[in-house]
Formats: sequence, C-alpha cells, structure tokens
Amino acid sequence: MPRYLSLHTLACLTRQGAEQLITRLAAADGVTMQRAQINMIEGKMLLEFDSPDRDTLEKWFRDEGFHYDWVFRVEFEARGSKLEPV
Amino acid sequence: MTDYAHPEVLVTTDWVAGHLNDPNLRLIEVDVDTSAYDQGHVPGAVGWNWQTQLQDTVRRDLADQRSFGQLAGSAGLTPDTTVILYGDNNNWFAAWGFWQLKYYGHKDVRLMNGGRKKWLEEKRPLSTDAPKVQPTSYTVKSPDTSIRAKRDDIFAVLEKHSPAQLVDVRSADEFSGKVIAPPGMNETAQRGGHIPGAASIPWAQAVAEDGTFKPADALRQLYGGKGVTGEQEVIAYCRIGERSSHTWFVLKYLLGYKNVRNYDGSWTEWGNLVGAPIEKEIAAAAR
Repeated sequence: MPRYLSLHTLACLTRQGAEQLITRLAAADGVTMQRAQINMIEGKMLLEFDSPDRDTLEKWFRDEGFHYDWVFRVEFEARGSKLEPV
Repeated sequence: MTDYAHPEVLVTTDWVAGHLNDPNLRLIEVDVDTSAYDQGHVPGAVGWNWQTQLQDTVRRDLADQRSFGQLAGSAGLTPDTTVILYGDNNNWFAAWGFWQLKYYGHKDVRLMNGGRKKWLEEKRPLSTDAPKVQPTSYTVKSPDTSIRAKRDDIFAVLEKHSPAQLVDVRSADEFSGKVIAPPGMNETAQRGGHIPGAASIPWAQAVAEDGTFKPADALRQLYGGKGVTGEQEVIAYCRIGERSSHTWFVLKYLLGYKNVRNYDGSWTEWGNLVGAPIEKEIAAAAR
C-alpha cells in the first residue's frame, strides 16, 4: 500500500496530548499510522502512514480535524546506502 | 549564571541534586496530569496537577486564594519555604506554577532549568515514594495583579490608553491564523490570527534543544531585535496562558524587565470575543 509522510504543527500540544493523539491515530480507519516522531520545542510532528491513496489520507485528516503542513508520498527510500522503491 | 538579571531563580539539575535534603526546600513537579510523576519523580518532590489544582475547575480562572492556600499548605509550604518547580512539557506548566506562586505572593520560587526531561536525560535518581510532608496552614497574600493582564488591559493597549507592548509566543502558523489549536483538537477559538500590533516571538526561541534557557545575550538579542526592550510594559500571551508564562519568566527574571504581565486568557479568550480586533499579517517588530 502506498506510504505517505505528513508534517503537522503542534501548537501547544502537550506530551499527554500527544499520547492521546497517538491512540487516536493508531485506531484510524482506512489509513494505518506506522510511525510518529515529535519534537515539542520545534512544535512539529512527523507521521508516516500507509494509505490507499492521497485523497483517502487527506480526507481522514479533514474528518478528524488534523491540520497539516504538507503530505508527500514516499517513492524511494534508503536505509544504508542503497536507494530502493517503496 | 550567564549574566541573567535574577540568576537566583534558575537552578541547575546539579544544584537540585545537591540540595535534595535541605530542610526548608520543597520540590514541586507540575504536569498536565501526574501520571509521569507517579511513575517516578525527583526524590522528595510533591506533584501538582495543572488542570485540577492550579485552576478553578468550575469557571475559567486561576485557583482562588483559598484553594491555592490549601494546595500550598498540603505541600507543606510556609512563607519561608524555597520552592523549586520543574515539570515535563518543557517546564511550561512549572512556569505557570511559578507565575501563580508569585501572583499569590510567595517569596522564594525557583525553576529547575531543563525540567523533568533534563533530570531524566542525565539519568538522575527517581523515586515513586510519596514525599514526607508536614501540612501547614498557608495564608495566601492578596494577588499581585501587576503580573497578570486581563482582556481590558489588552483593549487599553489597542485604544492607546496604555503604552504596553504585546508579545505573541505561539508558533508562526498560530500567529498568522493558519492553525488555532493542536492537531485533532476542536479549534477552541472561533477565529485565528493575533492581537493587532503583537510581536511574534515564539517561546521556543528562548530555549536550547535540551529545553534549558539560552544565555542572557542571546535572549536580549531575541527580544530586543523585535523591539521588545523592557522600556515599556510587556504583555505576553499564547493560547491558554502556559507558554506565555514561560516567556513571562524569561522577560521578568532572566532579562529583568520591570513590568511584565501574563495574559492568561490568551487566544482562547481573545479569539472568541465578539468584536475583538484581529490581525493576520505579520509586522516586522512590535509596535
């Protein structure tokens, strides 16, 4: 299934709020949250999703009230020195 | 400590570690909820819950004098106690606790630089034991209203009855109105943007990556560069008043600005006020 990264502005999301958010993300229907990475000082959260397509993911964000800075589909990735299609 | 105006109010984790058994000292961890405290806290620390103990739980306001006095008494405070505050979430709520203790007149209040995160990163000891506390009868002084701004104070600035400068400590996206609340949260304000004339100086620009405060020179450049020099009164605000209490601490105690107030109503009040003016474009500096 296609993989997407999304970046979100946290406003004043607390650690406790992030824990609740992760629980919601983990229970998402139609999209699968694979990973979340957060920096409270930068005020940003990076999410990694599996989603059938961009429209499905963006619709889920809209329905859940998750504003986002950007979404992009991961086409290639490298772990180590070899670049491979995702 | 790097030329701060009031270095005595900021203590290091090292200092705290060396003073854990001081008889007249009380450590207080302030969190949004105390689950982290319950899992392990600085030995001897009392845990305060920002949501249920440092606010009025019926109407939107600070804990009233009576409730605050009871809370302070239950932590064993006397007027002479040295209170050291720390917490998670980059000491936001510890700074709020600091501000509230000062609001109610407690003399000696300090913040542990870097907060809970730094204590944990340095692998310092934690305890799950309830601290030994001898409850006291703590008499709260009349509130120091000179450090708290209400919405009428903001209107006074906008109507030019007050020369105070406004500092918006939220992120750039909140300042411009692109974002009003954390992701997935109900917006909590009807409108986005900022109070007209406010300088955008996000709270995070005052700290290093480990959450400790930047040196005094860097802080002077940060705020001075945006025209916030302390010559006039400064009023800081954010969304709910906790990030702005962090900035209030920086301006008042680290830079020594004489007149600094925290507008704790912040954007969740202003962004819901019928008829309150709102701006979305960004000015270069505070007006």
